[in-house]
Amino acid sequence: MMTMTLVLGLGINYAALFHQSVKDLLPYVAVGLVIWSFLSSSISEGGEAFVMAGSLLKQSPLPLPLFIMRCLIRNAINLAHQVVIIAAVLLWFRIFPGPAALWALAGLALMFVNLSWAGLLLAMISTRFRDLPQIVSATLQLVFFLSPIFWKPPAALQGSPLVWANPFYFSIQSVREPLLHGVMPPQTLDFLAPMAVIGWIVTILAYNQTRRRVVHYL
Amino acid sequence: MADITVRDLSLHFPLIGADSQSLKRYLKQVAIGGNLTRTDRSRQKTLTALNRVNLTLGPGDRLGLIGSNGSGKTTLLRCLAGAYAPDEGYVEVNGRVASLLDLSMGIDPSATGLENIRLRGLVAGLSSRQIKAKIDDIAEFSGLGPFLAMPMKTYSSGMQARVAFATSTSVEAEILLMDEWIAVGDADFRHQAQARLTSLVEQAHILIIASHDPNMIRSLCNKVMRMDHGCASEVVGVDEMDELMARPAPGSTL
Repeated sequence: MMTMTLVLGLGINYAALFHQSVKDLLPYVAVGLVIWSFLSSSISEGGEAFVMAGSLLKQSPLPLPLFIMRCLIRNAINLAHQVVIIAAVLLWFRIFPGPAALWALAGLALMFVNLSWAGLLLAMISTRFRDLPQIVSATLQLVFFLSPIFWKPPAALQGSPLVWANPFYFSIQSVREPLLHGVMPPQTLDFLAPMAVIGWIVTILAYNQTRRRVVHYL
Repeated sequence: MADITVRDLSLHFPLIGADSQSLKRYLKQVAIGGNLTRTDRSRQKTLTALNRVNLTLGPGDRLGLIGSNGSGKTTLLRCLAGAYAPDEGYVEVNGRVASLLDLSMGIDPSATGLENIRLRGLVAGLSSRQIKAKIDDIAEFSGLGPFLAMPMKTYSSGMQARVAFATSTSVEAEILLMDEWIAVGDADFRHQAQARLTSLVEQAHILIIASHDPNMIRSLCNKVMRMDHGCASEVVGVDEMDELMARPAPGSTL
């Protein structure tokens, strides 16, 4: 619901402010905001997953990653509800990208892989440093305004790292572009796939080091 | 067959004060310079929660853990439940474990009573089909009737305890770990609970219970072990409990 009012508000307002057509901007904003709300709540809730599950972790042998999966699946269910917004906007503006839109599923899958290592890593650090979740949510707020989520990057920004080295922007693009234009921009995959591999390696190393300690810190 | 083997189990906890739980402060210290950080590192204290604990139990053993507060009884139970991995030594537990350590474990306050029963059942390792088969029993035992369709946060603490207790005790376990006999609910429910726990204890192959009440240990257990500052005495028969208490504490001989 909140996402829908945001989509309409931002989509129509910014179209007027930036002198862009609503038909152009609103679908862009709709997909951007829906995916962003999935991304940001997965990260912030994932980071708190172990602290929240403290009483369970302290008396059962349940594996730690289970709680990250639980959080991601909960957010994926939320996302599935919000997909209605995207579908409605696409229908309204008669945007039919054809079968290439299925690339969006690949984008989502890659996002899931990246979110799971990020959540696991943040959750481990958050049990030791309890102020991390606040730092994360403040950072996410900043990222939201700095990233091309509800505005299109103007030509002047093309060289900025906000555009060419922004995992949040790339993650959103990997779903948005297939849906709106029926293409998967290759540079998003070139960025996100190595990030998934490196992220998982780092996380697995960190996990092996701290897995036993996490319960002690709770 | 259920059995438990614990050999030279030690567990060390890092002690973290509230002021060192801040990443901001930690980074500031690192930025300020090596000296400060180094002294701070060396001040990192650890607590030896368990110190070379040995324990062997087989079917039919009912062990009572006694010892003052903070002597490591609950920590040992959590180790046996698989929550804490040993720092040194070795723990082997064969058999299905049910732990009744904390009745509020894994409760989602905004979910209804029935949903929480299902959730707790899944956590305890039941399949959804097994839960479906048991859920009527559990609901009936909790005695909450129509209230089970309400969110848990609207329950009184006694009602919450009823749901948690009814669910936790519905799992057939070979090894039962219990922390204190938790007094739950009104007189009526307490009576029911007593009966249920007694039958659970009879079913289980191994029982380990931590308690401060000697009478309860006499009525439930056939063996006792005393803990003190993370050290454990040897396991003796329950008839020698008074003698065990009179001896110097196991930790003081070191």
